[in-house]
Amino acid sequence: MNTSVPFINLIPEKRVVVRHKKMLTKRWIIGSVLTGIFVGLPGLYIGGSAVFTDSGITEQIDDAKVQYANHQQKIPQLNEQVRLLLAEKEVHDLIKNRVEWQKVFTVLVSASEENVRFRRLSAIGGGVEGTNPIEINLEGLVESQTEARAYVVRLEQAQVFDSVSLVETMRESFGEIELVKFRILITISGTLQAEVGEANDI
Amino acid sequence: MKIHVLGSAACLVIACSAIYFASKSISNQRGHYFNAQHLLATAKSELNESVTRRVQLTTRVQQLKKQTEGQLDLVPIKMLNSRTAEIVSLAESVGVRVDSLQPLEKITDKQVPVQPLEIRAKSSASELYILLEELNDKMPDIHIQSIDIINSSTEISEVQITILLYWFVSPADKI
Repeated sequence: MNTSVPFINLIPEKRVVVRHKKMLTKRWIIGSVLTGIFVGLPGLYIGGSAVFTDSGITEQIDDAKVQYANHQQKIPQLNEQVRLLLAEKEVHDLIKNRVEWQKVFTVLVSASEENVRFRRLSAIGGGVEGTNPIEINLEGLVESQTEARAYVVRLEQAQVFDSVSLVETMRESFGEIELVKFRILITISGTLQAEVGEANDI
Repeated sequence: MKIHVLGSAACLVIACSAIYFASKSISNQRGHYFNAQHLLATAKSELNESVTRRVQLTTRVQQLKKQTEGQLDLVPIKMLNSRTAEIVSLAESVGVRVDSLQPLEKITDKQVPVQPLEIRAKSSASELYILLEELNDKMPDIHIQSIDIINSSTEISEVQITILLYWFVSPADKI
């Protein structure tokens, strides 16, 4: 025997449907809100953080650029300084490469043994770099041909000059005295300084 | 059924929008970051090169300064008048009588700048010898390029001298 009270729904069906729809709508609104809270907000936060996060890399780039500009500014000045110092060094090197003419003349005079009277000495050589050959034209008077040739031999024996040539000799009268006029061409192709230094010892 | 469709669509829109926004921002930021990193690497590499070059040049300057230290101070061309005065004074101090001292055209096409000076004078052979020694000792930046000594008389020991001097001026004027 059925003792339970039979369920009789007295609410109109239309109202039941409306209530049901409201409930479902409410649930979906809650669902949407929860979705917004648990998915939407973290998404916004992550995205926003990504946009506004500054890694400091821009400052590093700017800093590197400023430093680069500073260094670059100094480089032309340093290049100029190097160029100037190199040029100065070059001059100093060339200055050392000089012909010591007084030593050349010492050799010419000491080889004469006081038998030669010099009339003219023309010397040219060295050049800016000190590498050009040196040419000496020497004119003088001696008593005899023998003296002239002996002088040339003594100059050769000095071993300072590359070549010593007696270019010409001629007799010349000075009142009653007759002397021999000579002209010698001396050439030196190498550096003279060391050679003359050694020759001065003779 | 309609409510379920609308509700799930709303949730999907919210979720997808959030994910899209986040991933888009991250992706953009990642792009900016890599780009900036590349720029930073380039800037750092340029900076390193620049620093290396500067260090090299500074070292070279120091080396050259050391090499030229204690060397003769080169005189600039603007000191021409005082230089010629010094030469004349030196010549006259040893008894050489200077007729003229003429600066010639400056040589600029050689390795280093040179100012030629032509000196014409009269003296005895021994005085000339002393002048050559003094020039050598006191003015090493002046070289004798050519010398012409004439003794036209058998009686007089005086000689006529023409000397072409090469004065090595300070290269600071050239550069």
